[in-house]
Parts: sequence; C-alpha cells; structure tokens
Amino acid sequence: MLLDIIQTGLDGVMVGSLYAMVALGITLVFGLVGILNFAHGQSVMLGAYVCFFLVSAGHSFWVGAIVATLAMGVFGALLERAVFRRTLGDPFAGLAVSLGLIMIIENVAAAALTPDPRFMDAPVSGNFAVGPLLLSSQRSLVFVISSALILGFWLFLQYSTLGKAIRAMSQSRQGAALVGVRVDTVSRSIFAVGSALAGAAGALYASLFAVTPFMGAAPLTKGFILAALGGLGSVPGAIAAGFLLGLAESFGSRYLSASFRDGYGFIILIFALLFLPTGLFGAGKARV
Amino acid sequence: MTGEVSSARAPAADVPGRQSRLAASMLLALAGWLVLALLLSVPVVYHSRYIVYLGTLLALQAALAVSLNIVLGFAGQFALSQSAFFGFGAYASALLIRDLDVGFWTSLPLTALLTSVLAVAVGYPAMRFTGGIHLALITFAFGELLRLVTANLHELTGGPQGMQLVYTPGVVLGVDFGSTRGLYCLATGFLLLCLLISILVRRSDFGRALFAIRDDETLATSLGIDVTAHKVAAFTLASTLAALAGAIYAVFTSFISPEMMNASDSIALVGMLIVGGLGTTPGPILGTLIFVGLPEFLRVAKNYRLVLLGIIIVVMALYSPKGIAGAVNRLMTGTRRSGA
Amino acid sequence: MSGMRWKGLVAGVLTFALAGSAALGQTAGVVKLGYVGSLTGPHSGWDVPALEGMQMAVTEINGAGGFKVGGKAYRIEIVQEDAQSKPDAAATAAQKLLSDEDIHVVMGVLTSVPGVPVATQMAKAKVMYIGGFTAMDGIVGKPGNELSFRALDTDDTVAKGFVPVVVKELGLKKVGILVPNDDVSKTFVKAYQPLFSQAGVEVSMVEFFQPGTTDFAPVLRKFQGKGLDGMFIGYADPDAEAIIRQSLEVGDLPKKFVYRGGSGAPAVKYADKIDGFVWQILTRDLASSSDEKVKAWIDRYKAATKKDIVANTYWALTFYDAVFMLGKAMDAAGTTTDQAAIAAKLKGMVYDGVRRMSFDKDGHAVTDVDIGIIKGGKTYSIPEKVL
Repeated sequence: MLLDIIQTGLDGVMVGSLYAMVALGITLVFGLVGILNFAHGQSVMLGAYVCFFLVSAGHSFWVGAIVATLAMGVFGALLERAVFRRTLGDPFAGLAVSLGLIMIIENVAAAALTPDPRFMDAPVSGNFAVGPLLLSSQRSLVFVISSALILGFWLFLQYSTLGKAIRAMSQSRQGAALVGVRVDTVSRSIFAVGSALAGAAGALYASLFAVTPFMGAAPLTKGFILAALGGLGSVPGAIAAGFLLGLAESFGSRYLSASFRDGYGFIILIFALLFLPTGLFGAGKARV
Repeated sequence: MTGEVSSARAPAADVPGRQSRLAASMLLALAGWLVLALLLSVPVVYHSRYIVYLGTLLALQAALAVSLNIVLGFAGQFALSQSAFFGFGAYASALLIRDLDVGFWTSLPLTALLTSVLAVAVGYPAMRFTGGIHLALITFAFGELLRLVTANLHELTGGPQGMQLVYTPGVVLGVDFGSTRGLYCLATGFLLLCLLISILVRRSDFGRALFAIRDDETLATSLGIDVTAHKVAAFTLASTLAALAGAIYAVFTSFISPEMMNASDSIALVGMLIVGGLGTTPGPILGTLIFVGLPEFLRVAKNYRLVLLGIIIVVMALYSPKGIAGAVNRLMTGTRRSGA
Repeated sequence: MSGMRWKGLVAGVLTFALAGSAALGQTAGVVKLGYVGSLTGPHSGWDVPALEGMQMAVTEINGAGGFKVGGKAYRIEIVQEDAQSKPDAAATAAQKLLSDEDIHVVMGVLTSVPGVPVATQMAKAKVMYIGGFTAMDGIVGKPGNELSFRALDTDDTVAKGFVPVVVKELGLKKVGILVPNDDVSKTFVKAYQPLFSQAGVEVSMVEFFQPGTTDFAPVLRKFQGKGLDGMFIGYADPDAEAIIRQSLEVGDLPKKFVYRGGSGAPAVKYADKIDGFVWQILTRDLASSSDEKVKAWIDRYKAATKKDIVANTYWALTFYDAVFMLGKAMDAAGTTTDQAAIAAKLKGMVYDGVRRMSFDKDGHAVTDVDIGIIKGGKTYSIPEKVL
C-alpha cells in the first residue's frame, strides 16, 4: 500500500514537471506583458512535431528536442513581433488574436500533417527497479530533463542580465525603462523563452504521448489552471502548482475515478481562486 | 507602430464632434437592423430546408452572443461559462420532459428558474471574490467541471455520447412548432426577445450602472452602486438566456451531448463579440455572421476555411480593436471629418 | 459547392467518353447518393476511406454504363458533405443533404460522436441511411428508424466467434478490461464479459478512463499485482497504442492484448516486446490477403486512389460493396426512390461482392470478418465465419 502511494506520487511528480514547464511560459507572458496567450499550446504542438519529424528522419531524440526548443523560441519571437506587440495592454485584443492564431495554426497543421496521431520512438524504453519501486525509464528521463530546464530557467532569472531585466520589468515597467532596461527587447525575449520552454515540453510530450495537431489544447488548459493557481506572474507559484496538479490527477485517477481525471484540477482551481485569490504563495501581483 | 495603434484606439468621437457621431451610430444601428432583417427574412423567401436550418442555427447562436454581451460587453465581466449554461439548459429541459413528464413549453420557465439558481450560486462567490482574468478562469473551470460531470452521469445524461430526444414543441395557436419552419420561428422569436432585453437593459438605470462598473469599478462604488449585486444580476440574466437557447437548440436538433458545454465554444463566443464589437447592439449579430455564417459560405477553401476565418479574426483584432461595429463607426466619423 | 458540381460534371463527361455512345441507347437516369462523413478533423482517418470506397464503386458502375432498374440504366452521382468530426457540424451537413429532394439514400460516418446526430436527422426526415458507427447498434431496429442500416457487424455478432478464438490463440486465464468511459464501451463490455466467462476466462476488473486521456500510468497501476495475463482494451487506435506503450513503461502488467478495434497498427511497433495482440478486422484482411477477389480489389483501390493500404482502408471495402448492394436492392425493388421498398429488399438480401455481406431484418449487418493476430513477431489472420 505504502509502496503504491509512493509509486503513484512519483507518477504525479513526473507529469507535473511537464505541466509546470508549459505554465511557466503562460505566467511569464501574462505577468510581464499582460497578455493571456491562448496560442501558447500551439508551441507545444509544433515543438512535438518538430521533434517527431527529426526523430523519424533518423536523428537522435536529443537533436530533435534541442531543435524543437530553438525553433519554438524563434517562433515565439516572431509571433511577438508580428502580432502580440500590437495588442499590448489590451487583453481583449490579445485574446481575439490568440484565438485567431489557434484556428490558423491548428488547421494548417491538420491539413498539412493529417490529423492522424503519431507515436515517436522514445530514447529509452521499458522500466527499471529501484529497490521495491518500478520506475518507467522514459518518464524518469523526462522528469530529469524538465526539472533541469526549470532549475536552469530559475537560475537564468536570478543571475543573468536579461533575467534581472525581466524581474525588474515585472516590478515596474516604467521603472525598468528608466534604469535603462530595453523594454521592447525584454518583451520579445519573454515570448521567445516562454515559447522555447513550451517547445521543449512538446518534445518531451512527444516522447511519452501521441502527437496530433490538436494536442496543444490539454497542456494549454492545464497551463492556465496552473498559472492562476500559482498566482498569475509568479514563477515559483507556477512550478509548485504544476507538481500539485500532477499529484492530484495521479492520486485522483488511481484511488478515485479515472474517468474524472481532468475534473480534479478544476476543483482545485475553483477552491484556490475563491480562498487563495492571490495564488499559492500570496504573490498577488506579478512577482518573478 | 505602437503610436499608430493607440491613436486608432482613442475615442474617435472627440475629434469630429457630436453630430457626426450621432449620424454614425444611427447608420450603424440601421446597418445592424438591416442585417438582422435580412437574416430573418431569407428563410421565408427561400424554401430550401437547409437555408431554414442554417437560419435557425444562426439565430440561436446570435441569441447566445447577444446575451453574453450583457455581462461581457455591458458590465465588462469576463465570463467564460456561456456554453456551459447553454448545455445545462438543454439537459435541464430534456430531463424535465423525459423524467418528470412536463411539456416542452412548461419546461422553459422551469429551466430558466433552475438556471438562475445555479447562476447565482456560481456567480455570487465568483463575482464577489474574483474579477478580471481570475473570473475568466473560475467560470472556465466551472464550465469544464459541469461538462465532465454531465459526461460522467451516465444513467441520467447518457454520458459523453449524448441523448437522443423524442419530443417536439407541438402545435400552439395553429403553428406547428415541431416543423422546420416552426422551429425557425421559435429560434428567431427568441433572438428578437434577447435583442429586446438587451436594448431595454442598455437604456435602463440597471444598464447604465453596468456601464459605470465596466468603466470604473471604484467610481461606481462611490456612486452608491452595489457592484457585486449588479454583476451577479447581469451574469444571471446572460446565463439564463443562454440556457433557454440551449433548450430550444435541444428540441431543434433532437440530440444533445456534453460537447455543447465545451469551453472552447464559450471562448469562440467571446471572439464573436470582440470581432463584432463588444458592448454594441449590432456587434454580437455581426460577429455571429462572421463566425458561423462565413465558414458556410467559404465553400471554396474546404480544408482552409477555418484558417481563413482565423486570419480574418487576427486582422480584425489588430486593425480594428473595437470590432466591425467600431470600424464602421470610425470609418463614418473619419469620412465626415475629411468631408467637412 | 460549385467546385463539387464541377468535379461531378467532369466525372460525368469522362464517364460518357469512356462508356461510349453504345451503352447509351436510352437516356440514363441519375441516382443521387448522399455521403456525409468527417472529411476533416480527427475522425477523418475513418471516414475518408469510406468515401473513397463509394467513389470507386460509383466510377466502376458508371464506367460500365450504370446499373439497371427495371431495364432502365442509372448512373450514380455522389453528393458529399463534411461532418468535420464534430456533432453540430455533422447535423448541419446532414441537413444540407436532406435539403436536396433528389437524395433518397445517404451513407457514411464511422464514428459515434458525429454519427448519432446524423442518424437522428436522417430518421427524423425519413431518409434511408447506411452508417457504420458503433452507437448505431442502439438506433437500428428501434421504432422510427426503419430506414437505418449499420454496415458493420454488431458487437454481439462479432464477439461470439471472436472471444473463443482469442482465448485459444493467446491462452488467457484472467483478464482486465480498460476502455473509455462512454456508451459504446459500456455496451460492448456487456457483450464480451459473459463470453469470456463462458470461455473459462475470469474478468477480474473493469476500468473506464476519461475519453481523451493520454497519460494512462495512474489507471494502469490499478491493474498491477492482480495476476492478470491479458488486457482487453478499446476502442480507438491512439488509445490502444498509448495503453500498450505505457504498459511496457510502467511494468508489472500483462503483455497480451485483446483489442476491440479494427486494426493491428497500435501493436506493430511493439511486436517484439509484447506476447500477443489480437484485433478485429470487420471486413476482410487487406494487409495479408490470400483471397483472389480481395487482392484484385486492392489493386484497383491503389490505382484509383494512389494510396497504399492502411488499417482504415477496410472501410473503403465495406462501403464499396455497400454501394453495389444498394444498386441490387433498387433493382429488386424496381425503384430508385421508394425508400421503404428498397430498405425491405436490402434486409435479408445476401450479396456476394468482394466479400459476403447481408443485413438482418432490423438492418444490422451480418458479414464475414477476419481476426488479426500479432504473436511471436509474426502477423497473420484467421477468417471468422459469421454469415
């Protein structure tokens, strides 16, 4: 029984790290630029396809994942430049634009790539035993990669110049501009970094689950839940919320009912919004 | 670049003065009513079943948009639960008829009653404790939860595969509301009712209070407006109208499923309002025509029509943030200015 | 719409040229055949082949100068509408076909979500409808649905032959069932569970997962340590592949899979890691056929569509035969418009096409099917005599 609980907990933490990666991009963009980017899930989907096609063409998973991450970074920067820059400060226009983008990207992908689900070969397969525990090899790998990326991202925010500029901007846009932060460049970087993280998450999703043109919807929904749960704009909040949701789903599906899987997250969200309106850590307004 | 956009977004009315603004809004209203009249008359003129069917669908969809406009456009509250209530109404009415043996017409006020109770129960804590983007998320979560619960209550609702319905509204006052044309009359009648309510609200003290809340909540409070009560009332009104549209939709298609409650449909409704013109009277109708009507007529680009629609939305949102209604308005005042 | 008309016209002109004037001693009539199905969206994988099969049959029939009813030759023209894999779009597409008064028969839709609204609209308008989706089993034969047909065998029909073969081939003793939480699953679980018991296999647990689930690890944990030797899974390929893949990942789970679905594709990649996979070929095995008629059909299919045979090509064959069978029924009824008469002839008729096909008195298909097996790295099929 105890073993089972530990095992279920590990399952939850493993998918939770993936959820957190997607949520980071959403929370950053919202916290800093004030745009709720519904098209964020499309970066996950496109990243998954990039990785899938590279792996199918005979490249290693690592090449696929790195290219997917970089490609989605560029994609995010392009979207910011072409579209989102023009909707700054207008949440309704931002919403409408991202709705339009979802329609365009999803349907072009469905027409060009067919809606058939595809499964990619994972770099490692099977499972291994740690004492009495039986762990999935690929899931463990995904957990290690995503945790490393999340940690790396946190270090980047703390210590790099750009990271410091992002943190400055999250506290005060004008203040940051006054002390010489190039707000334009920082905004674009945030979109690029958020989208790159989503692309990396897409590659990791592809190593576990089916790749389809419509796969972006679920990570997006979860990302929104997490961003709100963690307090919009809060990076530690989004990360903690990611793990919390992974655990809730895992324990809910294992010990309650698997047919209500997505419901557990929504219940947590509703309670959190009512009783912790400023997010898990009481972050309230944007705090990175 | 940014300067250009923000100047476009500034109220255009300040420059050309009151007269042209009045003329513009009158013309806009006229255009709106013309589109509506066209929409309503087409199926009467054309005898194709499909056109009548499409007209019914458009009318119900427009009714959803018009009612959402009350809470989103007037009161500025970002509710993402419109399609959840649409589905709730369909199930409530269908289950009342199937399990409690009430007639279709009796089921309507009962559905409205049930929905308003649910809407207040959801709306009060949501509006009291959250706002803005958090309200959007909490209503979104509620909607998805309702969909999942409906899909999981197999014995009652038939689960994810939905329910086939066998009832019709029957003949009332010599009109067979079960026929294609009768259902069309029912749907368009309901759309007109929603429009009427929307116009009455807009002109009432209640409506003016909603606009005050949208523009500045703190100011509204200091004016003595009970902000929460007004928001909840607007939310309940919009949700109840959505539920009634759902009940009519159910009898119209004879088939309902939890998919009706899909949150993406709620989000699409918001898109319709934004594209059409948030807070304006003709906006929801224009937006519906673009979202629902356009794909039907873009037959050429079968695979790509949703892509085309997406492009239209992006372009509209970027270059005309106040929607079509706003674009017409700006165009009119702009022409006036250059003509003067 | 105009694009389609234009294509129809070209097809017509071509048929004219090919058939030559000899076959047209008398002016041929036209039968409009409706097709509704998901040509776009996630369900298009099933429905596009169905349309291809119909188009193939129509091209062949028209090329031979049409089919005869009461001595008069009729050409067939397909009018197609896209259900977009969504229930509301499917209902709209059905309405569009219904608005054409010349369409008396509509075919298509192999998935239940867009299928139910189509069947509902057709029954309401009293138009003959030949569909393929599972939920039709709850519709066909009910009052008011006298003109509805399902072109695929019911679970009850298939399961009787399927379960004993599966139990023998895989040597099963104790199985668990893992299927999506919907009506289709709840219905077929009721059909299979007792048959497993009759065959001496204990069904020790049944779990329903949320449709659309991608991560199966938590629910798979429930099956660990139960001494199971097989899993009965359903019913869509992506779900089945995800379950197999993640069973291997999670570990300590049975490696024999019984698939209530129509393709071996989910297991192909894992063939050397699992101990067995059995699926239902609801038409004839196209991948490794030894039947001459089937082989010839495959060649014609490849020539007509420029596509290779994949799992879902099965549905092309089903609807190909169904079009010919419909022509025969119209001839036997002596009418192309009286749907009740045509339906009456179709029920109880046995058609010997590329495969043998028939409908029972309610409109359920009773046809021969094959059972596909992947075992020991080899893929083969066993014919299951149903008819």
